[in-house]
Amino acid sequence: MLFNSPGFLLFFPVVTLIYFLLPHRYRWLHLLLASCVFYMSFVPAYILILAAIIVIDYTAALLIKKSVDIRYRRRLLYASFVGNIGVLAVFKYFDFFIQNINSFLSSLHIPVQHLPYLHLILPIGLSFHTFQAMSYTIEVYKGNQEPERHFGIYALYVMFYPQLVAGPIERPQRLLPQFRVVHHFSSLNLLEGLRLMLWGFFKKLVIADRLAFYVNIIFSNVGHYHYLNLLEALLFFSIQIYCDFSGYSDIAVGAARTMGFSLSLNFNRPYYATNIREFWQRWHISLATWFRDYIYFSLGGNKKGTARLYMNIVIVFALSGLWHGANWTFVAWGLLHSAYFLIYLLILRHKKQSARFNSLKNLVGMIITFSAVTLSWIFFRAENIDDSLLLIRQIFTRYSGFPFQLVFNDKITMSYFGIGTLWIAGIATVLMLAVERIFPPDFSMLNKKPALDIAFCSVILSLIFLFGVFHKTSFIYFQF
Amino acid sequence: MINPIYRILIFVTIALVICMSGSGLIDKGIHTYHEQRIEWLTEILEKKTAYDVLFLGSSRTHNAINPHVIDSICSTNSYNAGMNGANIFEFSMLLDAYLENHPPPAYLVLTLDVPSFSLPQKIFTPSQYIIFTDNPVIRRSLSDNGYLSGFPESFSFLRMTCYDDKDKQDAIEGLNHQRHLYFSWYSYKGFLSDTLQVSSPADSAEHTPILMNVSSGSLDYLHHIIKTCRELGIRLIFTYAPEYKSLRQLRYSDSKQVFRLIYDTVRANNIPYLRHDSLSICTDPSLFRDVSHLNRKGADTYSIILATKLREIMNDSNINHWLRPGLR
Repeated sequence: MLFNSPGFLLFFPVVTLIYFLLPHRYRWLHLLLASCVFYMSFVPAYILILAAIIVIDYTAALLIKKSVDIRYRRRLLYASFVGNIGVLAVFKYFDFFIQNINSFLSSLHIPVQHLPYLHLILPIGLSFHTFQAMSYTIEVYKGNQEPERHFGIYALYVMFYPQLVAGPIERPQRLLPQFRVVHHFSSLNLLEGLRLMLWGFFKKLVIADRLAFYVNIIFSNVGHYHYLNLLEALLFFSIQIYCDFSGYSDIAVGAARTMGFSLSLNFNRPYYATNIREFWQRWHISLATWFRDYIYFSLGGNKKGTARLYMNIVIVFALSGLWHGANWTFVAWGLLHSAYFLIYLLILRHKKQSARFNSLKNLVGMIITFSAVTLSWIFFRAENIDDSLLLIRQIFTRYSGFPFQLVFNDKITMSYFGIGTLWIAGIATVLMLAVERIFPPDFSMLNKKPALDIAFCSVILSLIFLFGVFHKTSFIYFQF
Repeated sequence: MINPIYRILIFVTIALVICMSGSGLIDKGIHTYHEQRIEWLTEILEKKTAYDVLFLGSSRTHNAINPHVIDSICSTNSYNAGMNGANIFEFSMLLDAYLENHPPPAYLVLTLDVPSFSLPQKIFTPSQYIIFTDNPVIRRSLSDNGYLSGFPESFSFLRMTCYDDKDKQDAIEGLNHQRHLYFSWYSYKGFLSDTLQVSSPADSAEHTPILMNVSSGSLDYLHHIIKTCRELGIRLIFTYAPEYKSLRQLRYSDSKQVFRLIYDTVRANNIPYLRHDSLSICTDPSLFRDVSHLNRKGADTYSIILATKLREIMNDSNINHWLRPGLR
């Protein structure tokens, strides 16, 4: 079920209302069933995959806790990894792997029959819930988390519907205890939750889905457009992906907040970052910290010399790229970010600290970081490496035999993007950037300013209704 | 400090008032801008007039077939129900919706194109139908395609969810007292065409062929139209409207596949197929508005050719094997 579907308009209030009407001891069951309904609205059979992951990690964690033998505990942890990564490997990476083997064999002109593909449909949000499940077993292994003995509550930790398919990827220490706390109905929580959800819907429906029209036209045939069109599409995609994904996170956090749950902050105004490190402290925070804590630190972090530090950074970013999708474009995207990071570290090492012109330096840093991140989205959005390179070539050589089109008035393309669309998207984006600059990410500041709060929520709700794109569009990060 | 619940109620109420006022204005603008389109759709979807010939198709029907010419040559009462961007799903929907109120026409002339069988979006302009949800076929089709429909009058502002940016831009034009008749001031029984505009050299520029991707379900809609005609005894005729030097079909890499599909259907059902892409008029640029569409002069010329052919067919009792001899 998509957050931006009519079904969710019914699902959300009904689930929230029943949650508060039920006695505490039944609430976990209610949320678990609601989460199953939510997940099964995509591909019902795939709930079995989720169930398998839950059983594996639940059992592994209990056995890890019970055992005193370090080697046995480690084996159990690895068994849990094999279960989770195995599911990912089969559903997400198998065909990619086979495709590369087949290409390799073809390039060697070895006359063997091509290996068959599985052609499986990727379960929605698989990478999110496997990573969340893995963080549980890791934390239990490290002794930072007691294993959850209540199977239902553990299952709910993996399946909690607001963050089930696109995060934030929650740590067990943060989310699990919240299922045991009695949440009384709080009108303030309701207000804060609805406000965040409105903001998320605004970003998704008014900005992201509108810009998607233009981006989809250009990226469907990159070779056929003027380089300025490509730059325009790239800028729009930069805004689109932020509004799409952070919009989802805001809706997820808001929906959980109405029931009294507190989910992690996943985005903290990333395009205001003044360098690449800061960007990664602000973008998809729950995934970035997952890779930092469980991969980067496990590889030794910065404690094993400079060369090893650089290698660790490259490995972490390459894996992070691969996490997003089974395509070399994502790996290239990750590697490009690792290159940015290494350049940043090198500059940092040789830079003399000075407090002069700080504002100007920050502004320049912000522009450079945004440009670099925007450039990297080429690999993230393009269908394949060839398209990415073609796009880069066309932008940098500024060659094209096609005229620049600021807008697309031909409705036949099915993706009309007229001058009005450009105005709406432009004004909404400026509004979004200004609001996120002024208010903290959870808008808590508005709690003490009722008049401003009412004005803000009324305007945002009206804008969603009057200028939202209500056609069925999925969230970009669902595919991961 | 206002109680959060009151805050929610207040902001929802204010937003509701803004939305209702905004949607009222947008509705008014769209009604003004598309006054003529609403008139055509009212005729097709709400009125009960009996027509002898109904023309269905996309803009290539809408801008190419002048019922005035057809009626004067064939002595019929015809109506042009061509809709911009319509595909086979929309043809089928329009026929069903038409038959809700009108008696079945004697003849249905269906213009099939290459893009007719590609259904990336089943209804090209859903917003144009949203005020016609009293017609059960329209209501069901909108609802099946994910558009909110059938809401009570007091919630009519929910129509906004069906409007896209083009509609909103049109609404602003409408509020500025502009009308949609951008390429013609000549309109007659669903026909709209341009008097002056002719094909520009840019229209003839080479295009890389694009794949239209014939949708798997599209044949079902064609068969549904045939079945409806069979059940109601409507004589069915397929056409392919003139195009400039066959350049339109060259734009689509799967043109041959579509024509094969049409010929198979025609043979199986004994349906006359009037393919008019090789007429001599197809090489005269002064008759075209662009590669795909005739201008007013071209439309009248083509309508004469089509009417002459239709008159022959009307006298031929051998077509459409489901018709009993002498039924019409």
